[in-house]
Amino acid sequence: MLELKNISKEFPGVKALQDVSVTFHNGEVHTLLGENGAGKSTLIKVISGDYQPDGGEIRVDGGLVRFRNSREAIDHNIGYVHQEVQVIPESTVAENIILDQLKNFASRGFINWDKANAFTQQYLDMVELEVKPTDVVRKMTVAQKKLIQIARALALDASIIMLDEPTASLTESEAENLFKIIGRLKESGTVVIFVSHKLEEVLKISDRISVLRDGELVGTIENNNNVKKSDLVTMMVGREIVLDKFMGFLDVKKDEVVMEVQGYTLENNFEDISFRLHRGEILGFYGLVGSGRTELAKTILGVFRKDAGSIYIEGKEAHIPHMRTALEKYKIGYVSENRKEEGLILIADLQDNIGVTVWHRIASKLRLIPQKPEQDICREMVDKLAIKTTGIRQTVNHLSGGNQQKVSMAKWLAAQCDILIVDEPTVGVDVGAKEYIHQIVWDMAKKENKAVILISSDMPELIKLARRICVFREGRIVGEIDGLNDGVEKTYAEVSAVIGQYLA
Amino acid sequence: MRPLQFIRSQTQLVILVVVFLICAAVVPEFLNERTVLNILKTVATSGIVAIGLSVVVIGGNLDLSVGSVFSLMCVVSVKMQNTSPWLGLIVPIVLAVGVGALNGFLVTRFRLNSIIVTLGTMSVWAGAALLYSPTIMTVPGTFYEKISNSAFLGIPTYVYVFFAAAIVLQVVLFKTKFGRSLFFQGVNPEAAEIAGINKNRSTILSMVICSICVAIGAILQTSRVGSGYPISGVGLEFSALTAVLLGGVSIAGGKGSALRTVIGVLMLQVILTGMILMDIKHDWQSIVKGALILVALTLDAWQQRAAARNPGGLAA
Repeated sequence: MLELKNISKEFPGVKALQDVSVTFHNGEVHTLLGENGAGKSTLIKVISGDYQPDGGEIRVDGGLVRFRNSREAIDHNIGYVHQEVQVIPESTVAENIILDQLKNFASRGFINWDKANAFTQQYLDMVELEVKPTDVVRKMTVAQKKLIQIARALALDASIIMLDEPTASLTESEAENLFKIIGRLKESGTVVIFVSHKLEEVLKISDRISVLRDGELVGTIENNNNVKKSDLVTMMVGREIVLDKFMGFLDVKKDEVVMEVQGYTLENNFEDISFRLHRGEILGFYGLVGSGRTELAKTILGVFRKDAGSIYIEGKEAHIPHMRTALEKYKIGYVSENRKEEGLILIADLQDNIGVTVWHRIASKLRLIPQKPEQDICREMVDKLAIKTTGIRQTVNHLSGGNQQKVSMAKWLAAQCDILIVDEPTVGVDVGAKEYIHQIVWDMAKKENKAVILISSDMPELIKLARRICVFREGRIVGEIDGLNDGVEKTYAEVSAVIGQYLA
Repeated sequence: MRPLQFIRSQTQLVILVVVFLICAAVVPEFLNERTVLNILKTVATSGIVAIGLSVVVIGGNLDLSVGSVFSLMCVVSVKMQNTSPWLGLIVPIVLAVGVGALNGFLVTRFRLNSIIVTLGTMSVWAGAALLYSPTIMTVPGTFYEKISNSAFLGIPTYVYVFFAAAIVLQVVLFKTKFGRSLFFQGVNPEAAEIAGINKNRSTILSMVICSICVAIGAILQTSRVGSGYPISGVGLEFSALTAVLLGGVSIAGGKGSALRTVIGVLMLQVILTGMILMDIKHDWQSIVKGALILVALTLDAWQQRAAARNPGGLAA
């Protein structure tokens, strides 16, 4: 049993957690739910020993504990499966799994590999992973790597295991498999702490759900059959939000092809990709993380060098050696899936982050950038996207995840692109901001007649916005779903069934 | 901006003033016209090199070849004087464009680490300088004398050149597309590229600017001392980098300015001059410079860690 009492944690200027008290029982799946910035990650990192709380106490099986670092949490049999896939790719499965407890397998400084491999096999069986302990991890699928990560946490003889968004990069069947494993852990009396943004799965596997908002605990509820998705959203956001409402139809100019890609290939990433994009269209790219969609986008934009294929913009063959050409000559923008590493300069302010795409447009003959037009454009974007900020001189790492994503989008709206590639725009974004971002993407096509490529592994999001969907698997387009724009609303079930067939 | 906020944001300036006041109080003969003028004169030549170097550092690179290039440009400038005074000015600068472009080309085309590339070119140009002119050469014409003797308000013209260069580069860094792109790529090269910044181009340009600054510094130096010496730039990369770091330019890139480097240059020279006037043995200079660079680096790393540890509000 894990008890948290009145946990508080403050970062400069922000109360990340305030007086949070939650009890996690043995043999229960307890989900932490909340918008981004609500304090879930902070709470998990307090339990895992990565952060030290400013106030409050933590008890494991009744005994008061105080973790100075993550090692001490591991020593208390707390396993933490990080959100990102964390494996050492060049090492074997066994090496990855015994990483936290090498000393148990060492004698006189040497590792006893027979013992280590046998030990590893035991946990591979537990997660039903059919690989050998001596296999190298590098070439495994994302799902397999995730399971190795989970096995590593279990191998600590964990009595408490925390899974932070474990299904984010898994297919539905892989996720099902994971839920079975979670079910077994639960039966064996383990405390399972689960974090996910996918409400369907939360309702499916949780015994209890604790909702956080703005660093405070809104409440802990039993997950009986009466709990509905909308109840959870209301608890999370503090007001009612209509999820995934039907957006209507787009006025796609079928005879105006703004971009045509033929036979694009980037070895080991994707092969022979061809598609057409029309004015006023939102074209969806569905597929799992690692199916080659992001790499394709970056190759189109000149960030990666293609091995084969050609591209036509407005009917003319285009040569795009660099993102700069894509932006300045062909007016193509790209909202990165990875806003913290690629989309934004976190330590810079809004003006730098938004302004960067307009510098070439407003620079004088001497290449000087006039202040006023730049600031005007930035302020206009802040207003247009309702970015919550103290001003355009605020550093973006002080904004919430949703607002950061808005800045990342604002940058490309300011660029006045004709073609916009939007890559996973709502990953790690809270519900309210998500609705807003959907509206922005929709308006780009509907009101401004731009052509948009929407890359997403969030199926409801794609079905809501895209009016044609290319399905990607292992670097190829395995199917295309058309007819989403012919005046008859297709249900989620219909479309997802077709996508499922393509992926099977 | 409130006074306290200003002081906090200008740590380096405050330290410079404090160091200056300490020297003025402790060292006899420090606070007179001649000493201050001497500091400015000494700073002018090596300071231009430091300013140029800071442009490279802001872009996330390093140029270790500045010392050797300085030596080379000194002897080239003097030799060209024999043909025509104007060639003594123009040839080093044209050559500098090539030298900087070569550094930039090697770094961007083959994706090499700038430290390693310029470590190589550093050795190449050091050798080239010695081959070109194995011994010290005096300046033949009177052209250099004109440069070094001209003064305005009692201060030599080349001191103004130094400050003018600092102001020009300050404007380039903060007001042009190139300069602002440089900060972007210095912090985060991936994000810069995704934002449509051609980082190869700005890297090459930053290294060319640096080399041009070195050439100007070399020309001023030869005219000041009246001779060209093929090893005059030995160790210059080190003191220039020390000044850059003392000025608060981050070795990790993306932070700093030309004017801050001026402060760093002054700080270093004030300390060294203070030591000379106190008759501290010359060997101590090297130790003090080394200690200063370590202190500056530690402070820089400490600031970066503090920034990284603050997860930035709710974004974490």
